[in-house]
Amino acid sequence: MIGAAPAGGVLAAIPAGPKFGFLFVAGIGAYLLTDLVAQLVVFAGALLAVLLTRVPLVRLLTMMSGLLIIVGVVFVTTVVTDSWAAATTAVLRLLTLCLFAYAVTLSTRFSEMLALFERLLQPTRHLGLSPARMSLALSMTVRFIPEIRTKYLEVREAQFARGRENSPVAVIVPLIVRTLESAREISAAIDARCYDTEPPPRRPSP
Amino acid sequence: MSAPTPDTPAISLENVTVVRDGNEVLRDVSLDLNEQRIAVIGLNGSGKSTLVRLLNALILPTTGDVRVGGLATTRDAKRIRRQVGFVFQNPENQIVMPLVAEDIAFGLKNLGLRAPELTERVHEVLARLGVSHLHDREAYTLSGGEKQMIALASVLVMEPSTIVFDEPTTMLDLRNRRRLQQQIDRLAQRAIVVTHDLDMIGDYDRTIVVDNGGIAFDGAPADAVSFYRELCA
Repeated sequence: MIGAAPAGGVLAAIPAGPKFGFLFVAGIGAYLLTDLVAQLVVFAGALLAVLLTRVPLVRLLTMMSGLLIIVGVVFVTTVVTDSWAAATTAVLRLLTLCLFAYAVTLSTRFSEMLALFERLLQPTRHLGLSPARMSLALSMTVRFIPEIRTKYLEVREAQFARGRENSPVAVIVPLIVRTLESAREISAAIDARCYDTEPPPRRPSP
Repeated sequence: MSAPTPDTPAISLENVTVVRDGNEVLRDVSLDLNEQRIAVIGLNGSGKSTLVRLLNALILPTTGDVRVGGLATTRDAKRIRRQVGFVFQNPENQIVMPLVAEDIAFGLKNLGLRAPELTERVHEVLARLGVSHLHDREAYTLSGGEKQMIALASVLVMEPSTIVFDEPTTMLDLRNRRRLQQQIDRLAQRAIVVTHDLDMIGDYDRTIVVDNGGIAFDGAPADAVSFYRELCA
């Protein structure tokens, strides 16, 4: 889960770079493997990697519940349109990749991911972009998703209390206004914390 | 830029007027702020927040000058922000990183500090506020009181000489209000506190009442509170 403190386990000791590099290679490798036994072996490896993160099984299953539904739909659709063998291969590939991805994200601190992201984006400096700013934007997106969700629930509750249960506009408009108000304060807070910005231009006298 | 001398006020505002969206939010305000504990009180919309936001260049004066240790906010905003920390009313908007430790380190990283010192200072400030257990917590899982403590920690870790609090207790329950108040009382730094909590400011050195964009009263807390009560009557 992005944004979370990483679980323990041996994988947490491996730097983010090699882990994400492995994930990239595994993504390609899983689609090059055609032998079912080899696919099962790699799948077992992915399962072991997730278990090595030492995340409790119940939490893992909760996190993967959405994935399992999608995998089920893929399996049934492929059986109907193709064959059992193709469906098994498709499901094994999908599960293997997702399990490896879970293992990597669950064992890597968000700050390590950000540092890696920033390093990978360094070449964009030559295009006039700022990797540090892009990294901050990503970090803040992760930080504020739960806050926006909380605001959404508050606004929806307030509209319910006023008897407006089926009005998306009555929820979306206040939510946007509140989010923009927060954005202004957050921007001031970032400035106040010595982020590398200059103050706005002085307003002209009336 | 003028270097501070022993006679230079810690913070000074000279004939400051702020105009926003065509309205005079502050009008011709002149103040020297040297005391260790200063309270700013006043009605909603009177200009209190604008006044304190001038102190670390979050807002620049339309006319007049604001100086911190002799540095003008219009020219030396970055240096001034190292000297004047700011704790916002809503800590949710002040915490910008997903994890507590990362958030407290955010300002230090902006100053270019490297890992060993940075980590040490984060641990130190959390221990000082008695919230070391929050080190690895995700920001959105904190309670209101915990968030305000982390917001204070994120400012304290920068070791500013002055800390401005903009209605820091408004969103807190009584217990957390007392805890924050105790922390403010213990600060070695100068504290400038905007508040509606009149019980909080009894032993402050000075209280400024802001009304309608101007300084309506400036003096001892007891007198200022009496004046403010009459103003509200």
